[in-house]
Formats: sequence, C-alpha cells, structure tokens
Amino acid sequence: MAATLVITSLTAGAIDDLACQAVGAAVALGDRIVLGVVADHPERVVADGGIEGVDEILGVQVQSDLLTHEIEQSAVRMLIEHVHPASILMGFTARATAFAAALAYDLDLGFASDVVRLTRDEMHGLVATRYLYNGKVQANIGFDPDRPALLLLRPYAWEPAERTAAGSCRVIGSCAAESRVRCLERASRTERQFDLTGQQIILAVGRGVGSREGVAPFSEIAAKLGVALAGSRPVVDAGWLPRDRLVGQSGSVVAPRLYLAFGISGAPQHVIGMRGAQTIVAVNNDADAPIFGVADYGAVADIFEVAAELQKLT
Amino acid sequence: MRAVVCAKSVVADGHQYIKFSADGRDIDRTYATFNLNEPDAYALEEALRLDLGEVTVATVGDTHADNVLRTCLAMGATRAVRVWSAELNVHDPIAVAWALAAVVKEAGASIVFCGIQSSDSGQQATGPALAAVLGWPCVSAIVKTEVSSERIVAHRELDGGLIEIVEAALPIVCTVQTGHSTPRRGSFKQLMLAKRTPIAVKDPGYVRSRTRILEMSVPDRDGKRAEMIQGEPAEIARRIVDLIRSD
Repeated sequence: MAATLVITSLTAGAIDDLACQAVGAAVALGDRIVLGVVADHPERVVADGGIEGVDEILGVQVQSDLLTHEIEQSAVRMLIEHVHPASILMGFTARATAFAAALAYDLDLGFASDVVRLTRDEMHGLVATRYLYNGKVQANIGFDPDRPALLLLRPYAWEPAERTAAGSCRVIGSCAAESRVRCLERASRTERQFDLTGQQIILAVGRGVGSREGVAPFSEIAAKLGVALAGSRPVVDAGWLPRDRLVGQSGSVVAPRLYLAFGISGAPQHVIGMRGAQTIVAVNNDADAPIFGVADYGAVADIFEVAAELQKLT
Repeated sequence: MRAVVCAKSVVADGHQYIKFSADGRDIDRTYATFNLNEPDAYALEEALRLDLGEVTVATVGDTHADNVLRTCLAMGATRAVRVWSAELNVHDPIAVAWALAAVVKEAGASIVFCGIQSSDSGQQATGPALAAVLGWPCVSAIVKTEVSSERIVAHRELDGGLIEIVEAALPIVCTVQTGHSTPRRGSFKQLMLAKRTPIAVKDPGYVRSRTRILEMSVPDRDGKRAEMIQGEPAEIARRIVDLIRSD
C-alpha cells in the first residue's frame, strides 16, 4: 500500500503542532502514514506521545549539536529512500525551506510549498492548492504521476490529528552525512526584550500605517487599553517598531485570546505567526486583503478613522 | 570573483485587475503591473555591498521582466540576462532553477544571491533548488554576510527569531531576507544608462519539471470569510472594545 511520509519538526524536542497538522492532512489522503522523526534520540521523542492515525514511526539519529540543514536534508533523504512514499509532507517553515526544494531536485520529486489544500482527483491524482499574487489567485497544482511529491504545508491551514499516548519508534540508522555548511553558533535574538508570546490581547499594525508617525495612535491605544503592541515584517524592517515586536515566521508566533490587525494584508509569513489566536479582528481598507480569509471579524475601513474612534472610547 | 543575482519581476502588491488566460492555467500578464521582488532588491544590495567584482543580474520571465533588469542595472549590476521560453513553467521553482543555472554557469560565477522568496508566490524554493542544480550548498534566510578568501560567514534568521551563524566555502547560493540593509536606488543618470544597456536573452535549454498548473481561479477559501462589521468607524471601534472587554 502506498505511504505518506510525514516529517516532524526537526527543532523541537517533542512532536510539534505542525506534525499533527501534517498527519491530519495525510489521513485525508488515505495512504498508510509513516511518521519520520529526526533527532538525537528519536525513540525518546515519541515516548512522550504519538499522533492519531500514524501507522508506523521511523527515526533517524543525528547529533543535534552538529546539526545543519544539509544534515537534516540527508536524514530526510534516508527516510524517503527507506519508505519509498508516494508523498512526503512537512510544515512550511524557514528551517524546512532551507533544504526542501534542493532535496526535491536531488530525488527528482514533484514539489509545492505553502500548500493550503491537498486532494486526490480521479483524473489528476494528487492535487495541491496554493495561493499566488498576494492571495488574489488560487492555483491547483498537479504532479508527474511517476514521481513522489514533496509538499510543505502552510501552518494552521489544516485540522490537526489528535495526540496519543506514547508511540514506539524504529530507528533505521544514524545520519553520517558530511555537511558543506558548518554551524558556528545558534542563539535567540538578544534584542528580544519584550515577550509577545504570553500576551492575551495583541494589537498589531502593518504596512497600512504608512510611517513611523502612523504607528503612534495605535501605540497610544494599546497603552490605554493595556494590550500589547506588535507589527508585521514591513513595519519592523522599516524600523517603525523594534524587532522584538515582530509577529510572523521569523519573529514571534503568538496565540492570544484576541488579535487585532490594523493595516495588515495577511501575507502568509505574518499569518503563520498569529493564526493560533482565538479571535482575530482585521481592519483594512482593501476588501480583497487575504487577512479577511483568516480573521473571524473584519471591517473594510480607514484604520486611522477607526483609531480616532478607539481613542475616544479609551 | 563573479557574482550572479537572481531577480524576479513580480506582480505588484495592492489592487490588481486579475484576468485569467484563455486556458485558465495562468493569469493574463498584459493586465498586471510588475515591480522588482523586494527580497531580490536586498539580495542585489548584498552583492553590491560586498564589492566582490562583476555582478550579473539574471531573471526568468517574458519581456515584462526587462524593466526589473534595468532597475537592477541602475542599482549597479554589471550586466543583465533574461532567460525565457514559452514552454517554461514559471510557477515551478525547480524549472526556474534549471533555467537560472545555465546563466550562472555561463557567467563563471562562484556566488549567487537570491531573495529568500518572491512576494507573488512565496515558496522559498528557487534559491535552494538552484544550488542543487549547480551542485553547490545553499544558505538561506541570510541577514548578514562576510565573504573573504573563497569562504562565507552568514547570519541566518530562522523561525521564531532564532539566529544561526554558519560558514561555508564558495561556490555557494545565498538567499537573502529583507530588512537588514537599505537597498540603494540608482541615480537618474544610472537609470538612463541602464535603459541603453543591452539585455541578453537566453533560451533555458533543457529544463525538467515534475509539476504543472492545472487551474488558476479566484480563491474560494472554503467559505472561510470574516464576519464583516458593517457601519461607520465609530461602530467598528465599539465592536472592537466589546471584544476586548468580553471574556
């Protein structure tokens, strides 16, 4: 029977949410599900828990202090060559994209990244859906039927499979690959003084604020309401907010009770950082902004007019 | 040393009139407006800042991409090459990588800079795929580089703000993240000169693609759509405050 190989996150000491989401996606495909774990001690990772729907867990042992994306690529390659899956699923993260397309080239696989939907079609076989052109277009992608497909799944676009009690893992080997890249140092950002991750309510601003001065009314409102101020990448890149206020793929991933997004279009790299919020409210003057496909409540309005009204109420 | 910078002519942000092609498998580019992919501007800035030698800017695209090449020439690239064939699947980053590899080999380059992703597709794949086609290592999500004696030390910005400092020997492909420099603008004189610089157009030669677009359409989003708050800003503000105060 054909297999779907799901690769767990390679940084966490435990199985992460993205792996549960990938297994959820795999269940819908209907093939046998093999979970691949790359870690110092793969058997210990799954001893803490497994994922519902997984038929088999295989591990590749690596030395985490020497780990680079080239070694991760080799370890994943070992799993693919062992399992011979019809498809390989990973989470769409900066760590995964460091090597995923290179692996797809080396093994001559079909490839698609930031995938939001996966189906099987009578006519086309596996079909992956992703967005293009700032969320304005949806593309369905087909793959060469003679080759496996490697797919990176957009975080939080998928229902996760449930976690289970301890699983058992068969370690298929150690990754002894050479790495042409050497890691000298790994560190969390030292500028990170403000921790967004524990905040219950976050007010975030995006490119729509237009300037450093444009941030000011939102900063005041956040202070008066006692909520945390954050920003999307363009705001931080421009220096309008410090880097420790960044919500997104390369900043903080937050899951507050309430996320208020002002002038944020909803680019995937930002959405990855805030998709876990319980309630998302978006205000943007572009009715087609992709954020309205993610938010629970939306308003097409001038963010500064709304800010002026919020200032009156606070 | 010779460097190649890969640049993409992307469909611009903001309001766009999206019209689909007759076969429904692409957009009709006659109706779109394009600009230089922002991460690629940072990639070019890095190549120029490092002052390594000749910088060739390469793109895969139809004639609309010439404008973006001229922008890059005005910024300071030495020469520009456009790779194109009507059969090329521009939506497959691995196919695009095959096409770009031909330029890198011809340029005799030992270092390639690409933006980490394109703003209009965002797969974060072309750079790593290009490295694999060339048989070189790739270092992605770079925010800072130092290059000396055929070696590179690079700072990478990964998920959750983790910084990884790596080193490797050239030849290498680097993908560059936004925000850690200020891409220069070409002067008017440089732009005028760029307009007169010939752009070489190449056929990509053999390209292998295992994916194809079946269909493009307006997103259906599975019916996921925000509940829209109607009314004036005052009403919107009231609803927001209600949500903040409820628990």
